[in-house]
Amino acid sequence: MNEVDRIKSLAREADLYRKQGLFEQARTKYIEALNLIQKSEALKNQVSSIESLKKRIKSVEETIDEVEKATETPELSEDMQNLISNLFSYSRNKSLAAIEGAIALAKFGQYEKAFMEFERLIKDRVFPIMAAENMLRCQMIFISPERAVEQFKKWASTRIFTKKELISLKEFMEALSKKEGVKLVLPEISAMLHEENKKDINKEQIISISSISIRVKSGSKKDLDLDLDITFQTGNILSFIVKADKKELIDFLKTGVKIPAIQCYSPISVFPASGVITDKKQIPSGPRKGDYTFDLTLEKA
Amino acid sequence: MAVINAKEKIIECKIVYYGPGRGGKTTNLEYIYKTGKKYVTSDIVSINTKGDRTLFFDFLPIGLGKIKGYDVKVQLYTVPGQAKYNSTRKMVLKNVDGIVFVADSMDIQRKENFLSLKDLQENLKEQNISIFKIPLIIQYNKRDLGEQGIPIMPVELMEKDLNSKLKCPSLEASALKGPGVAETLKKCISLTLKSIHQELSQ
Repeated sequence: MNEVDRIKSLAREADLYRKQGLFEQARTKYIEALNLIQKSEALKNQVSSIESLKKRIKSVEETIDEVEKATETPELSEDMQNLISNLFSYSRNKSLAAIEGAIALAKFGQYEKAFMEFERLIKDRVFPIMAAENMLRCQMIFISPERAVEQFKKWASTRIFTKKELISLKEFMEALSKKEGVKLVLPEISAMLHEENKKDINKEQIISISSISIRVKSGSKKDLDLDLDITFQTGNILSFIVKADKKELIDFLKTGVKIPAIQCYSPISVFPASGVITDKKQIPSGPRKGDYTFDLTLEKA
Repeated sequence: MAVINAKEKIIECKIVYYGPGRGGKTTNLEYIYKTGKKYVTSDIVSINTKGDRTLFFDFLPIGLGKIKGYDVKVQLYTVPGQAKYNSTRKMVLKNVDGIVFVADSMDIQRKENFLSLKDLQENLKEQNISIFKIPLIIQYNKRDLGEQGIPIMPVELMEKDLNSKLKCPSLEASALKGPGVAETLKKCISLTLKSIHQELSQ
């Protein structure tokens, strides 16, 4: 291929990449073509070709710039927001699904709609602490710490939360701000119920858990970590199914057995917990007939 | 994970089109939407950014009618291909039942294909899903571009790059013009339903 053909071929290739939306690749090829012309004794005076390539490089660079500067979290239409909320909530439990839907909105950058959903859940007392924590976390990280403080003050000035709940939320805010390296000034709340709070796990503070990992303490699988998908969650009670052929695991998971080391996986975090098997049943009918369903009650998280 | 309503005899499953940016995932869905009116149950939803790039996802629900007495509904999604949108890809991949990996046949996209497949493997692993076990089809897209003078990779090379370990079904396609699009989807649905059936009968 002679020099002229090579340059034409590069420019054509670049045009096609541009049409494909591969702007960086197009720019590279245009620049390659321009360099070849400028280095060539025979072609370096072809002003129109040089100008044409320069124009195309400028144009493709403008497009790259536009793409890079494009807003990454545009405000979507209400229909679109509702669709996101529906498509990305998987729990069969309606209340948890509502929380998941609101979290999905926040993850897709639809913050104001997510806040509206969280507020609605709080008002309806649907996992209010979980909803409030998600809302505060989202405001602190994605909007501003000041917005989260304002929100907390707003709640503190109304009767939407009990004193016990407000203390718990304040602790949450303090821990989060420490983690984020932000200094917050939060209003004082009497700590009368503080000690009582710490005695038990607060059911509403259990976040939606999608799977757990437990360590078996007997049999040939001793000390092996086993992953189990959660089929249902009601507060701190997690239900999961074990296939009938996992005899050793089924024998190990007797009602009353304490599981000291559980790793809980949720859409937003991974955290350790301990728990006890509170129910064990063999499924009598349906596609999972013969398998076992277990209830695991979390004690400490 | 597929939703099976035994009482109402409905199976709902989720298929995700994965692959490098500008590889033709959205074009696949658009072609299905245009030509598969019989199966399409709603409008295609696309959330794009500048340059027609997928920002969040595309979504197209289709209905296959009755299969062995069950009403089979399939939700088709695409993910944004650009590397920076990994958290969105993870969200869209949640509860996935089957995957179409749309590889770009253009020479210059060789590395991008490889990186995207690796990214898929890692994101599935986070959900405790093995890329070797999930129903997966590789589609070698843009085969028509060779005719326009764009250097494209031979299928053998792409097989070696992407499918030598996976050994999953692979098809050639041109999502813009249509060849291979329906075949890819049919194959993926078939593998996905087979996998769901196997899981249920275990």
